Amino acid sequence: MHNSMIRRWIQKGLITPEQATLLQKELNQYRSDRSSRQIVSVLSTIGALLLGIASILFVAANWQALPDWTKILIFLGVTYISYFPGIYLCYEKASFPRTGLALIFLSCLTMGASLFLAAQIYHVQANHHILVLLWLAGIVPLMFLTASRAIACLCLWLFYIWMELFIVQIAETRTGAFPGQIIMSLHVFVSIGLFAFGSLLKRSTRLLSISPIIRFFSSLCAMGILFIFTFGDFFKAVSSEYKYAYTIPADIRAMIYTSIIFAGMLLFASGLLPGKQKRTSVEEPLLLLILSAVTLFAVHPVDRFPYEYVFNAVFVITLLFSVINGYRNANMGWIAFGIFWLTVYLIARYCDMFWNLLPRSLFFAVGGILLLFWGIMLEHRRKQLRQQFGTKT
Amino acid sequence: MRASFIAIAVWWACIVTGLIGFKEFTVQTGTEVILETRIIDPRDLFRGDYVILSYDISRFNMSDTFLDNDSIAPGGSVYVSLRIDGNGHAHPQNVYPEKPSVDVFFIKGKVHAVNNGFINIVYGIESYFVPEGKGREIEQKLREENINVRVTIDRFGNAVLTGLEDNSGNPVIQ
Repeated sequence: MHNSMIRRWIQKGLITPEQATLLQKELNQYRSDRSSRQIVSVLSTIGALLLGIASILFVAANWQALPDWTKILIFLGVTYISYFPGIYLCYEKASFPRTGLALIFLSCLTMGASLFLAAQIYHVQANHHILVLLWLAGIVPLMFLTASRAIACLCLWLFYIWMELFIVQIAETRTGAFPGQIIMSLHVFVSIGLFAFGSLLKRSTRLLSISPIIRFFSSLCAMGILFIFTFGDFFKAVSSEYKYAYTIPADIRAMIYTSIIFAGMLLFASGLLPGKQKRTSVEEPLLLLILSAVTLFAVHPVDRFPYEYVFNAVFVITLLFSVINGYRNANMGWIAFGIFWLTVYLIARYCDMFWNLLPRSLFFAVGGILLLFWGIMLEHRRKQLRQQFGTKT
Repeated sequence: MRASFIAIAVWWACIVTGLIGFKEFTVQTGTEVILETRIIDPRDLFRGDYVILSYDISRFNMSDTFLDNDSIAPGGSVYVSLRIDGNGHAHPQNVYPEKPSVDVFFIKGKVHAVNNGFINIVYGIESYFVPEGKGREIEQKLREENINVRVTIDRFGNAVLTGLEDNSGNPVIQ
């Protein structure tokens, strides 16, 4: 609710000045409370994060002054000493919910540190994907139980690291080239699946808070890779790899198909299954378009096919639709997302086209002027939209 | 909800103690042998100092083994039979695609890569963690003398690295 709305209501005679004063007071109180709650959340989470990093660095130091068993007991002790009081403060007594949640988050970090400490004692390779998977398996139930955004961030981070390590480990066992676009395509499929999963979580009132986190991270990853796919040089590098008559190994092919099927199923579930409220969304068709283009590229990477133009078109269509979707649903998040990537895209294409054509001084001068105008236009439009959307943002 | 939180706490304990139990089983029930090694030393902020080890049993000429291209695949398991001499040093005998008979002492590995008729195998004992700041010092020491690795291998062929020692049998790290 904005102050301008209260003024408008007084002008229209909907409320009296006394009621407006009361409303204004309530509004100020609410803003102050929300601000202090956010500060507590941020400070507690940063504190937990620093303690977690300290414990991981302690493991890395491999300090020999204490016996291994003592170190393990200390780490498990710290894990449970932060876990149970966290539950007590957040759920049992519910007197310090944010601090409690930060303590639970800290226990998630120290649980991982304990796992890596145990692995280090037995000289297990620290970059083995199984260790990350075990850590992830430990904290995923807690993400659903607490619906904590910090734990959701940690889970997503661990998931992407696990996937990276798993794929790299497979790639290491292959002789010859293991094309980068296979790894990148797999990331896109998984990110689309995660995005659709995040959309599914919106249907649950309890898990609503972690839905934007999952959707944000997965869309960032998918769009980042799609952006790389818009470069002509990338496809030149790919086509040079394919001169070596490369064939995708059967297990990698199976991974590709499995991730496509999962992503497709989650898209179907998030878009077509009946929800609590009817909605008109362009998300699912758009994601299906990206999924189809990347699938074609992953399983049929013929160097003569104009993938560069296909992905440029898909990228621009995605951005335009995300902006249109933002307007239709009065959602500033979607608009900001579209504008951000559009800006990055335009800068990249400007560099592509004019770097060799213009003298360097002129290149930077024109680029700077264009960016300034673009920034002024965006700022102006953003103000307009904020006023237009009001509380919906 | 309380039951769910307790279940998660138990689940965490299972994960950590499961990993410890799996490795401790090998250490407690296995046979200790000595393997000759070569070392490279990288550094990583979050993983700490560690040395990467390579062994005589890490690379074989395919023609010297019971393997052929059809019986192995990258990532698949292979079994290396070992002969232990009077000093406790283990020497490779042969490589099998299947688990050898019970009276053969063996170590289980995974095919890392197959290149030009050679097979590279990893055993999960290729890293050795050392205290922070000791990596370079140990690396220097290793350049000057031969180093052996003490490894415990259980009856299933799983191996756990238990120490680095010099030719006289003195531990490199106290």
